[in-house]
Amino acid sequence: MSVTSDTVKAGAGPIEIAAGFEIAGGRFSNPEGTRIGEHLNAKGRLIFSQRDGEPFVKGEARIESLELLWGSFFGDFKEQKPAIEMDGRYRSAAGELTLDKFRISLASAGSVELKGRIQHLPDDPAFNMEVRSDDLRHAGFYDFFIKDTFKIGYPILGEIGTTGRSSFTLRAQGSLGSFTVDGNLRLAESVIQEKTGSWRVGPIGLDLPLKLRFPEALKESSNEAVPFGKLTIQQIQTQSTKIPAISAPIVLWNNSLRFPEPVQLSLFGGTGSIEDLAWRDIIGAPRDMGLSLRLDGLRLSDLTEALGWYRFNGTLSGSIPGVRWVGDSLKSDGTITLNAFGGKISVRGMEIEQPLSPGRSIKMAARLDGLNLEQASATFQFGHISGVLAGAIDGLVLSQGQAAAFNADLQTVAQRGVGQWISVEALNNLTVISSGNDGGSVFGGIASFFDSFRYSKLGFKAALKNDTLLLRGVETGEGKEYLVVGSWLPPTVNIISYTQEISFSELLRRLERVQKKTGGAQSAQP
Amino acid sequence: MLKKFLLVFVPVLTACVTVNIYFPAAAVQRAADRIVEETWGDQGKGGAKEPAKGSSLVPGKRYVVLSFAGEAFAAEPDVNVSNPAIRGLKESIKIRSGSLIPFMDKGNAGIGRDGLLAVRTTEGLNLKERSEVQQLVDAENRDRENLYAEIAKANNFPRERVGDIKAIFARSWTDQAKAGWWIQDAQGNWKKK
Repeated sequence: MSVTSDTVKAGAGPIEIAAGFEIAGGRFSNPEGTRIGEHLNAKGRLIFSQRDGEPFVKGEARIESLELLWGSFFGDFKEQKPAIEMDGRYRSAAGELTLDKFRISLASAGSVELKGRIQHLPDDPAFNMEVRSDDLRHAGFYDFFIKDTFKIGYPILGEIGTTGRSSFTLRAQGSLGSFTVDGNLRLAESVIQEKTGSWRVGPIGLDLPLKLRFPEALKESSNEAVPFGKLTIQQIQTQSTKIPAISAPIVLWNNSLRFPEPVQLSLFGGTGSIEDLAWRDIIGAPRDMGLSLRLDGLRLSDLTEALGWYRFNGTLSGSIPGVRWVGDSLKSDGTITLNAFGGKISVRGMEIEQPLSPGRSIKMAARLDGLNLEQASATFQFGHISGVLAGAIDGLVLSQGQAAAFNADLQTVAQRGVGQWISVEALNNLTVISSGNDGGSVFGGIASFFDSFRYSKLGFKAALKNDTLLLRGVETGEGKEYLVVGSWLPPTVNIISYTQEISFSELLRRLERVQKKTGGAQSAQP
Repeated sequence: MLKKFLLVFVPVLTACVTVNIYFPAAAVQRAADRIVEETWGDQGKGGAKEPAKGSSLVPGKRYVVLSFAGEAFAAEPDVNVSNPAIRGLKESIKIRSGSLIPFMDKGNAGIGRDGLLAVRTTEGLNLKERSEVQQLVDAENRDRENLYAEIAKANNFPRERVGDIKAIFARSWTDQAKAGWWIQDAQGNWKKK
């Protein structure tokens, strides 16, 4: 480090010493080696003066290069060209630092300015500071401080990008152990999107008066006027879906973040309403949140297409009166009903285990009533089956986008006026799935004169766990599992399964065979 | 003569074998060996593996009570180590191994006595690499802990058994470690394999 004193003023006026400094190849570290700075190259200028007997320091510095390791954070500031400007004074007797200005700027992220006073600096600092930024650029801030720091542990962060600008004016008061931050935060033209463009949220606008208390909320009188902010999202877009503008009042006061009015969404041709969305204390208990959800008339054709499933018609409605955290899980009450295939599917007990972890799993149970198999089999291109299906799927667990576990008991129910027929193609497909073999030869001979067969009952009991599917028939007798039970009127057919355990990989192979045979494009319409 | 008869036949007639397996340590060991091979196998090619000795790793977890008989072992079924969550975690560990193994080769990271990774030394690393190795080790350990918990869940082992699974995996990670990697012994000392 080199220091050059270039001016010294003394005499009748205040004493002033101006000095330039230059640090070349500087290095610093804490004793534990967890906070290290290296390759510090900086230039600056400081002016020391004395006014009214108090020492003043004014200065500026430009950091040409610095590599900084701070816990998990690593930053190479070479491209950021950090610039620091300061103007302040320090009263050593009182241990008081007054900053008239402390401004730090980064080339890609923008600048933050601090102004205020820190008292009892050496012992128990108490501060009263204003912190503001007029132009914080999201892309630069996110890439430098968040994405690059955490993407190894959380690869999803590397797939997300953000743009837009923020400004804030905040006042921080208190001590390091307990302090309050209040002020206002604004976001403008903010967009969050997946790198390849598969989804995009924004532009987002936010105007939020806020008051936060660290480490936890304070009990305050309920008659305090709480200011409302406003959140607007112009569009949420995926490859196949566009959700139009959302606008809602928002409150962040005394650590409680809440939406005081229902958030209305236009969703897949229907409406959604998120009500009572609130975090009681986002600082002290960030997981303590709740909401309720109402969905009305969502078109399943649009929803299934958006999810990349087989496309089918129908509507989705329902109400989840409460979503809450229990241990590591986000649990919900209520039921969502899908009106599809002429019947209904009621989904209840939805739960997300470890929702913030990449290994999250979704649990639910479903009850199926009155599903028209003719519509369903046409949709899934399985071959023609007529009849009405009912039953239940309990303990359904989805993990990594796949079914990880379930217990299903589904079977046809006889209904007046509805025939129960199954085509040769559907029989073949059922045979492939249950046995792995083609049933083609079985349906030769006299059976080849028929395209379809009558049945009296069709269904199965299935349990999936640890990648093994246990498939049992709708009826069991003498060690035989009947997936299809023939009727007493010809032409009739029985399908008997002898292999009850199917491994996950084998099941996938069989489904693939069925899909190849049927040419299973995922866009069939009933 | 009577004495000889009694000595030979009384114990035989009264012999009773009771085998209670509370925790299938050997089966978990086989599963652990397989998972370690599948995830780090290509890059972590270890030295000669000793045969699995599940019971010695988890003393007291497997009880073989013999009143009089030769050694008896119950046939342990294989434990389940495949479901979407376990596959996801294995995949994550496998993908990460490409970034981690160079640090293992250089000795910056080592296998701790608990089978988790630890940053042994940051010697020879620049600051970016120091941050990288720490993040990789943290992410790897998070995945390993989750993997053990998922294996316990998939096999309906009580939560307390996660520690046993971890101990068994520790042996597999160590056994299959490449020569030259650093491994922590039971006393906490680092030794080169």
